[in-house]
Amino acid sequence: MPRDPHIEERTYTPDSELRHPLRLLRSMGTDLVAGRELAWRLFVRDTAAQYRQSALGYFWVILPPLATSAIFILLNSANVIVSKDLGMSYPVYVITGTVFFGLFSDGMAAPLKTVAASKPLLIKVRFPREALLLTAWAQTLLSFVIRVGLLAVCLVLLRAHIAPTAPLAIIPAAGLMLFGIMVGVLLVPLGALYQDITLGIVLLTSALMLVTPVAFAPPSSGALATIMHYNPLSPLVLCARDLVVTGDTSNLPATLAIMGVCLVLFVIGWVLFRLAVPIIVERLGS
Amino acid sequence: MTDAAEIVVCRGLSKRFCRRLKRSLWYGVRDIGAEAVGRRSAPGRLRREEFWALDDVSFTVRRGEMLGLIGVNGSGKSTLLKMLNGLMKPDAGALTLRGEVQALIELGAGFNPILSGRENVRINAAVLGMSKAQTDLVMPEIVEFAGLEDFIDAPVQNYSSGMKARLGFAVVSQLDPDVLLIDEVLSVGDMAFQEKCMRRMDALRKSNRAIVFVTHSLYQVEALCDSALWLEHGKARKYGPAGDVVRSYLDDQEMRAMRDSAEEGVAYEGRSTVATRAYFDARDAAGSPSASAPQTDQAMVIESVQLLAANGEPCEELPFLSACTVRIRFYCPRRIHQPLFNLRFCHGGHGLFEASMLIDGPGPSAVEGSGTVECHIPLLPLTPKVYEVKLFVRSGEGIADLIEMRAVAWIRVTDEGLDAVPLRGPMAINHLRQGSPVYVPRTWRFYEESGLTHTVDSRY
Repeated sequence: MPRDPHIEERTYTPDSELRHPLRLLRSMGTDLVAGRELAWRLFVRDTAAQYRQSALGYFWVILPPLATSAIFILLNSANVIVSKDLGMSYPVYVITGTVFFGLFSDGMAAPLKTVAASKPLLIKVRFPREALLLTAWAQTLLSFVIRVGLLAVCLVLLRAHIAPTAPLAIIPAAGLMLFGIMVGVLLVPLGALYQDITLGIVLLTSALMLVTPVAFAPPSSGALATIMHYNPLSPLVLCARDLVVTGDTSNLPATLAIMGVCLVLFVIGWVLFRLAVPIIVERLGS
Repeated sequence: MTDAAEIVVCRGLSKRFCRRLKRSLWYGVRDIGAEAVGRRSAPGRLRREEFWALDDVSFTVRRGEMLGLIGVNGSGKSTLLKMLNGLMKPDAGALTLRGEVQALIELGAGFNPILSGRENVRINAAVLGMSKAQTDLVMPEIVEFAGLEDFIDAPVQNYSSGMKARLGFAVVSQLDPDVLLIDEVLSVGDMAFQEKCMRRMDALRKSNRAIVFVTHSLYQVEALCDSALWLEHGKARKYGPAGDVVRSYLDDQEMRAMRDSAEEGVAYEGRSTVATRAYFDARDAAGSPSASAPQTDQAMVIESVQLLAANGEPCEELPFLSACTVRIRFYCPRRIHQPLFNLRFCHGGHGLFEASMLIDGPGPSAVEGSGTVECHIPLLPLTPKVYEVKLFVRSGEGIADLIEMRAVAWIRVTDEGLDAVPLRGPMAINHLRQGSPVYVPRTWRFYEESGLTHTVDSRY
């Protein structure tokens, strides 16, 4: 049969796409490139729509970390939290902690939020699904830019010492975003079907914040100490904070190792996401 | 694919859906799990609460061909379209598509109500794979096609549904896909817009593209499509040339209408109740139309009414423009002076014409005991539809009712004889079947200054 090489031929069968892994990877790459422009449009649309109907607008991006920090500072001043040997003032510790942890939590919520916002499109139009992942990245990056600005302003106001290694903090910051988006993408297949996941993410975020050195230093012993020690988020948050304030780079190797694992898990999540979308469409369709 | 011109090949395509949401979500999780380990979840069978939304559907669309999908709501048309669009995977069978596929599925999708028409066009265009430069280039054409020059910068939430649909179609109209999927979009928008859409579809088809078209309008299927697929409960009830499928679909609708009207007749019409029920009972039992009114103290009893085809055989159906005979067997317990028989042919409750001895004149001077009267109509001037035949019999002076008017038979005129008529018009089948019931032969003549230039003859 004469085949025109310029004409794409697609065959849909009940078989899993995983049976042809090379073909799958190739189409993932193609769709990633093809989805860039759409991702930008969706990002602009979602961002515009998200805050257009609110009086405080973009202030909502910085309000949660400020509020969280304020609560912890208040608790600390009442000596509810034991914070010693921080190497910096408590407000600086909390604000850097919440800002960097926020990158993770925003990243974790972004994929499901994008999928939910694009549901009408998803179930009716075929477009490169990777655009949704790119949109999630873009949203997290926007929150990163705003948070870094917020952090800079706060550190200046608190007259904190800023280490010369501060620009390097972009590495653990990227790691926190990657970690968050990785978890978020892995949750999409279940989360698009069950609302429980979206509701659970809020709970999970608060719980994770308590077992990560965000508002207080890891205790020296006890269950919490063990959890914090093995919590893969801890080195990332500690590393970011140290690079900005103290210039300590001891957590950098662990950070890089964790980022590598996150990257692998992210690609697995991406494959799962691709496999799950047609099933999500048929379950949520019409 | 065996043939390079075959652009859509669908073989044994099946899709199952679940009736309950909770279970459906759970199956979804299991299906995703199966996908992730490279296996198929419950292949080829239904799980609890599932049904086949599409069941073993096969068809082919070639370049330059337009396929119409017809069927009542819930027959699987939209499911099939979604699968053609690659939104869902089949549960059995295979679907091969060659080239770029674009769909016109519910156009408002992705329109953000707060954003302006122009902003939404940009988003929609990006979703459909157009670059920013391309979009800017065709923006004036899109606005013009949609006829929204004055409103394009207003928020979409102030648009009417027709305006939204027009804008959506306008965006897609700028694309040049190999396969275009259209889901009932032509039901929205005014006449001028529909014309525009038709022209656009025609242009696409002529440029060797394929179109799959879901519609409820059989007129559109006959006028536009080459082939048609009629879906019923997810199964392909008929697939073939558009005209043939439209005929079968209309046949089916008529049979349903006939059954429904019979049931309604039994329910309300006091006088025709007995005859109606008798007609259908007898027909079901013996396969021949008959009617009886078993009142014994009357001057006349109708024992049976039969419909005879041109060959004299009893029948239920007659070909278009054929001879027809109605045979009435009656019984008169006592001598009756000059009975006058009248047959009224009705459709939709309206009398169309009458074969009446009140006009034609009396028969024998008297009848008594059993007798038969036949009314022969050499050419029944009725288009393919179902007709009700009502009978009433008057006494010799034409004053007293011997038999009050009642429905005694149904005639179904089929389109079997259509081949005898030229039928050159683009909607001949639909218009004959769904248009006016009476058919009279005619000739159209066109004159210019030079004289007669053109003749269109309907004669058979």
